[in-house]
Amino acid sequence: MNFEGVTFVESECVKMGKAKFVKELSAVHWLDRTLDERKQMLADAYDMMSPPKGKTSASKEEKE
Amino acid sequence: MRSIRNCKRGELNTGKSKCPLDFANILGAVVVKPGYEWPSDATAESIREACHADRPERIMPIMTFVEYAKDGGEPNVNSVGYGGKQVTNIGARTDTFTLDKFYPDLAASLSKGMNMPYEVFYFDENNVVYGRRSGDKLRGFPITTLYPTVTPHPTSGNPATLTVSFAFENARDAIEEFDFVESDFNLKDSLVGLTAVELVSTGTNKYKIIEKVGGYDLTSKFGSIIAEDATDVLNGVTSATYSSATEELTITASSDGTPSLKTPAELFEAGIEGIMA
Repeated sequence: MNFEGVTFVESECVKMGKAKFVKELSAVHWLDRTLDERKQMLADAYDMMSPPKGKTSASKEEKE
Repeated sequence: MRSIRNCKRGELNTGKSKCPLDFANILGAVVVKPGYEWPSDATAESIREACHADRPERIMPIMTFVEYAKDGGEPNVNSVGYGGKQVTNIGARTDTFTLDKFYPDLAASLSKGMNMPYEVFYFDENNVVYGRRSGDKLRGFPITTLYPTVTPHPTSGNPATLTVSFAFENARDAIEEFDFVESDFNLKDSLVGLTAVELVSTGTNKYKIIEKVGGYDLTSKFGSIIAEDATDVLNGVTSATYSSATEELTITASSDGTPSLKTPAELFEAGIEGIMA
């Protein structure tokens, strides 16, 4: 999944769990933004890959 | 009833093609696994894909040749007692081609693969592929060894040079089963040898793609496409992005993996050609 110029490998990101994903990657990408913005963007990206129950993930939407 | 033999093998036939081939200079060789048959429906795309295939199916071109020298492959003719001369055998044959430049990475690889079993096709300036007839297929000439001869530094009168030699398994067979096919596409443009590269860390989460021999930086050439298609071309990563300003990849490794490039076949599917990890 490509999101705001970063490619996320869904299968590996989902394994991490949302909290760990946001914590680790917030120190790596979009460093020109504030920490809070980075965390929110990463949370949004994670939700697109592994949506809360009742919603479809971004990759499944692409395939459909 | 006992088996009956005939003399078909020794029957002389002096006919020639009604359209003799204009033999052009050999531009390169294609090294293949034993038994590989040149595809009758080869296209530029299929040949390029075959250059990136997983081993042992991968075809490996060596080019560009600028000189050819043949050693041996002559009939050994000797008299038997007080009788006339007879041919006892065709001597061992070695073909040697001079490359246009000295390539240390190619020389290293040729040296490592010296005594592996291979077959080899040649191709010329007119896109004709030469090999050995096998039924209705074209196969490569079986070779017992291929090896480089290296002059790694210039002399006062000559540049650094590299030659590659192919020792034929059966010189007589190479004459009697010699055959060729004409391609309708540019073989030199379609064939590509794979350059060995590595993904090296240059800092925390920062990576570059460099050639294993000599360290040439290929990040600006491949960084963008590797980052965009990270899912299809990288192992052991959770995310990737590329900065054209710093010419670096930013990669986060997965917990159970070390970032690395996938196979050449997978890279080729993603549009990345000519490299292998």
